[in-house]
Amino acid sequence: MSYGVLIVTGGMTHQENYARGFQADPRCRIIGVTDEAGVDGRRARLNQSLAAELKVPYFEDLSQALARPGVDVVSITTEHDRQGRVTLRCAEAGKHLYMDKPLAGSLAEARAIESVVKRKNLRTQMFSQVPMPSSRRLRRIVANGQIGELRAFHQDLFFAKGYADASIPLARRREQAVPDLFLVPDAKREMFNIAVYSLALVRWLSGGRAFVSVRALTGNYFLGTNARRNMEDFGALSLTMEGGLAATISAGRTGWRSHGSAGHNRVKLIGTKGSVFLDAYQGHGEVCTDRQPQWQSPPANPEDPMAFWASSDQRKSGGPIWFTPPQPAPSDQTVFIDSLERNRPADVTAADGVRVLEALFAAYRSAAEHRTVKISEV
Amino acid sequence: MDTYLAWLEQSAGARLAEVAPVVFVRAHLQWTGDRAELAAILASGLAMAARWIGAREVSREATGSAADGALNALVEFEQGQSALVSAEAVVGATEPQTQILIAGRHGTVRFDDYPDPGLLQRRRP
Repeated sequence: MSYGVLIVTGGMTHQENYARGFQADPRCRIIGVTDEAGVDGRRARLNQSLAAELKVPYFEDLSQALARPGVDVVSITTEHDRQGRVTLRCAEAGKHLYMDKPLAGSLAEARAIESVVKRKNLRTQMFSQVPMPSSRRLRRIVANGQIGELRAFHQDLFFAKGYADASIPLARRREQAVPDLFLVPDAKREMFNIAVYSLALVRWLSGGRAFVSVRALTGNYFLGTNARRNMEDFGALSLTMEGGLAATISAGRTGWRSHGSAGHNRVKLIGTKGSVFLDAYQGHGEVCTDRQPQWQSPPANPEDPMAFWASSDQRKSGGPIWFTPPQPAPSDQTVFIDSLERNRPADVTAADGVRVLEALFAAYRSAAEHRTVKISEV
Repeated sequence: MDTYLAWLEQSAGARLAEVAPVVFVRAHLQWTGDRAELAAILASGLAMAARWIGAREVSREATGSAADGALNALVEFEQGQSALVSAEAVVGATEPQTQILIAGRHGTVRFDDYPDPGLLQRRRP
């Protein structure tokens, strides 16, 4: 079967990846790019730009685009203050939903999406890191009983991007209990954007266990633009989950020069019979060569020109250049199309996305009020 | 364990000036199968994190239990810095191990180790 995919919102969003993922899948044909009527000039220009790159038409009105024949799937990456209402319109139109993470910018909208999806029996998937080979390996370790019953999940997920600015004052952050703006061109709320991956992962690894409570802290540690926009660049969460499972997460954008590749991505699982520590970038290549300018060799000792002996200076500085070629794993978009073909729920559905969003909003309330917040409070 | 702890603090701490000031410390300290020792290990880890961060603790959230084989603490410090420290029991075929990740405003320090069990049993003279 062939699936018509409508791209909702274009350039300078994750659609730059998602749309190409759908376009690369031979089962898909891109119908066009669209957005809400009346979006601002920058957004319209970026939408048109992606449409041109994909060589598909741009439709200026989402409602009219949804009414076009042949639209089976929508891929939605709208800014989060709009994503909830946009997704709701797509769901009401009866389209299968492929959604950027997190699901929406408000819990009310997210829960409404869950309700419509159920009523209309739609297939849904929220983008996550679940298809990553490292995540699949963790799942195998849990499933094969190697560590016994899962008792604790810990993840550090840092994105080594952005220009760090150590001149911003260091102070306890005054968090907003219910944030409503998550993305501007030069800043993102990073607990929202990054911890979402960890929360989706622990639910998936634990067989969908519910979040019970969360204590969270947010910080402005690294990025000047985030501090000026009053958006956190870091979050630390300590959660309790159904059945007494403990989870801790640190997530943030730590600056370009904080990691040799994409950023620290480390998971530790504690079970009743053992534990496992996994670095998602354990599988990587390294190049060390005297053509790299970052290396400095110790000064030569005429008495020991090859520095055979301990009395010679053997200190060198520099470091390897990492390379992490993309693995030949199926894209998240292909995984979603697979779920449609097999008529089976995706690994991370809209309902999972709502549970994750509940934990995130509870985390913001916790950070604002300096207390543990039960998920039932949000 | 204090010989190893002192070595760990000195070894990882020796590189902190390169990333300082330190704003976040994550530590997994999985050193013993004796669950009665986990609380003391957690306390040592938190004290080490506080020294690296160089600030006073203002809040602490603890989860897990010694009976479950893991104690975790989320700590906030007075200028908003934070730490996540876990003391975990060695069970089954797991080897004693340490994982440390430190974020400073100028970069990160990672230090992973599989301490020799004999070293973990040594006390400082």
